[in-house]
Amino acid sequence: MIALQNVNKVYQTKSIETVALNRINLEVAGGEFLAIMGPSGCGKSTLLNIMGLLDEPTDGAVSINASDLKGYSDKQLARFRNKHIGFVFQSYHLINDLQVMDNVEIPLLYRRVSGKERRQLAAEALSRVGLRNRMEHFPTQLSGGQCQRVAIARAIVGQPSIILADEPTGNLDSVMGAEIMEILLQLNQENGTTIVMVTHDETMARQAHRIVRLFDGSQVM
Amino acid sequence: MIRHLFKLIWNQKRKNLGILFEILFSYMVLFAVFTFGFFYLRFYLQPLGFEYKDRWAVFLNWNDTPGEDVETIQQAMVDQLKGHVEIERFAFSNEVMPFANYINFTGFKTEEKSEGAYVFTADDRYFQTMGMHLQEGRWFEEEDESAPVLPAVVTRSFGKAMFGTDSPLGKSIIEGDNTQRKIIGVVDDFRFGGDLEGRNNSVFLRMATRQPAPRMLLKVKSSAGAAFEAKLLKDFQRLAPGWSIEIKYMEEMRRTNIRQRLIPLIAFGIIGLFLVFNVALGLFGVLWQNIGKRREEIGVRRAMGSTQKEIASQFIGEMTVLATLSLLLGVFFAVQFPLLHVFKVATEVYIAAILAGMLVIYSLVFLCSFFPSLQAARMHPAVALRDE
Ligand SMILES: Nc1ncnc2c1ncn2[C@@H]1O[C@H](COP(=O)(O)OP(=O)(O)OP(=O)(O)O)[C@@H](O)[C@H]1O
Ligand SMILES: [Mg+2]
Repeated sequence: MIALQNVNKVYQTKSIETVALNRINLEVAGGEFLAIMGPSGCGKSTLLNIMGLLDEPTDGAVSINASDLKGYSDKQLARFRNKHIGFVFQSYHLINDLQVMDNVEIPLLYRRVSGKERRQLAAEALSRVGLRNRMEHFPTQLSGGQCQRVAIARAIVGQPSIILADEPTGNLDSVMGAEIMEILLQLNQENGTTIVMVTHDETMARQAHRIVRLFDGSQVM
Repeated sequence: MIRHLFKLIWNQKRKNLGILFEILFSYMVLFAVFTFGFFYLRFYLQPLGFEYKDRWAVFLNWNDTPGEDVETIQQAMVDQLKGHVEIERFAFSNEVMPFANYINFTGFKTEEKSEGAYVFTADDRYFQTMGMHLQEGRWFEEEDESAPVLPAVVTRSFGKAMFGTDSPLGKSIIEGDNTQRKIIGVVDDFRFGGDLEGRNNSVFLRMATRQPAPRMLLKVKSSAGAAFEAKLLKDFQRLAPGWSIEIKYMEEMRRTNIRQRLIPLIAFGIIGLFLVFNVALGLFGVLWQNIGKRREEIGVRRAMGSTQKEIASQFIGEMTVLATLSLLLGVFFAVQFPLLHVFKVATEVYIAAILAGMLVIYSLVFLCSFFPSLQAARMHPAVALRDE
């Protein structure tokens, strides 16, 4: 499903060169729930961004759903992300000027989906995370756990085959974190969605099928 | 997508209201500047009703020369003019002439109506010398000298004001309180105030033969220049040693006239454009700042599948929607001017100003939002999404 071959990522700033990823070879199977762990700054987010086509590796190859994505234009990459990948971030990244409903609709805006259908799909996605009754709220009127559930609704509204979650429970207490984990596990089990999740929480990581550990940009396990 | 834009704008109404009023203010300033500009441009494009090219005005100040002598000297001058091949035509008039600072405004009346008009006193050769245009009837002739009722030639505007659709020819008018005049001709409007003044009601009265005249008008050959002017002046000075004589090119007088009227207009225009420029600069700053503030949103949209083009279009689209809202309001205010006839300005001038203002605002908003939007589109999604 997702395959990284010899992926390097080097950040070049004026004087320093940071090797964020060092020759990563990784395959994630369709329907797999993978956890990525490692100390801060080891390159987890960088790895996730590369898998999510938000960033390009310095060298190495990335393929998703058997498509080699080298040479894709900005538009092709954007359409590919839109269709196949859902993102969940540690700090939710909801747009505060938009109501919950409109936030969830965003991925559908970049497809040709009618307003009515958008509403309906967004409502369904919100039902799945138990927030059907919060559609008219603004993100600032919700708790952190609720915000993250909205973000998950937004990630699944377009029914992607892959969800990339970067420390989705990082800002939440253990009760709310467990709720989020529950939703992700359910998505993986019921829909067969492939999930790659970065986490610092050992107990959550253990609920995944497999754990990949990074240290200083290299895979150690 | 439009609905989505409206929601974004609506949910940011506080901030956007400020931008909306800035655009509205700019539009109203532009509307005023364009109205003035087009108002005068329209005058400029209309015919003057006379020629100024190769026309010279000779200012004759007799000082204390007695009347009979003036008459004799002027006759000698006429004889001399006839001897120059450079002089194609010449005429006499009183001080009231185009581009001059003298006016003579008098009331005229018929039995039904009274109208004010600018009065010119001109001789039989004036019409041809000044290259005027006849509508109906004729200009003054020698035989008018002995006419029982004094003749008058009126402009088309005066005829219309006084007699409506009836021909003014043969009609009688009373000048001031008592002098009766008979209209023998109608000429095109005579815009003596120059290119930047509108039409006026004017009436020409006949200058009696051999009447001393303070102005002489010459139609010279285009080849006549400063050398001929100097020679002519010297010859005149010899004939009239006690007089002060000055020759002015009417082309030059016209230029001075336009310059004088243009200065306040240009000043007003500059102030207006300066205001608009400031607003545009402010707008640009606000938009630029916006991109920074909305970094996270840009990152999210990119992650969710928006292309760079869609990001740029969204930002430009938001501004276009805002500009359109401002313009709706602005045009609503602007159309009140032609609807309520607040000033004596032609409706087409207002319409042109309304449209030109819209065009400038849209271009300005596009320009101001283009680079910030491009910047937004170019933002790297991974960078935009990184937590601070
Ligand atoms: N745009 C960038 N420019 C320069 N260096 C960067 C950039 N992005 C990341 N890095 C560096 O790359 C390394 C990996 O960063 P990354 O964000 O992937 O770490 P992480 O494992 O996600 O850390 P955390 O657990 O704190 O989120 C870090 O040393 C970081 O400073
Ligand atoms: Mg990280």
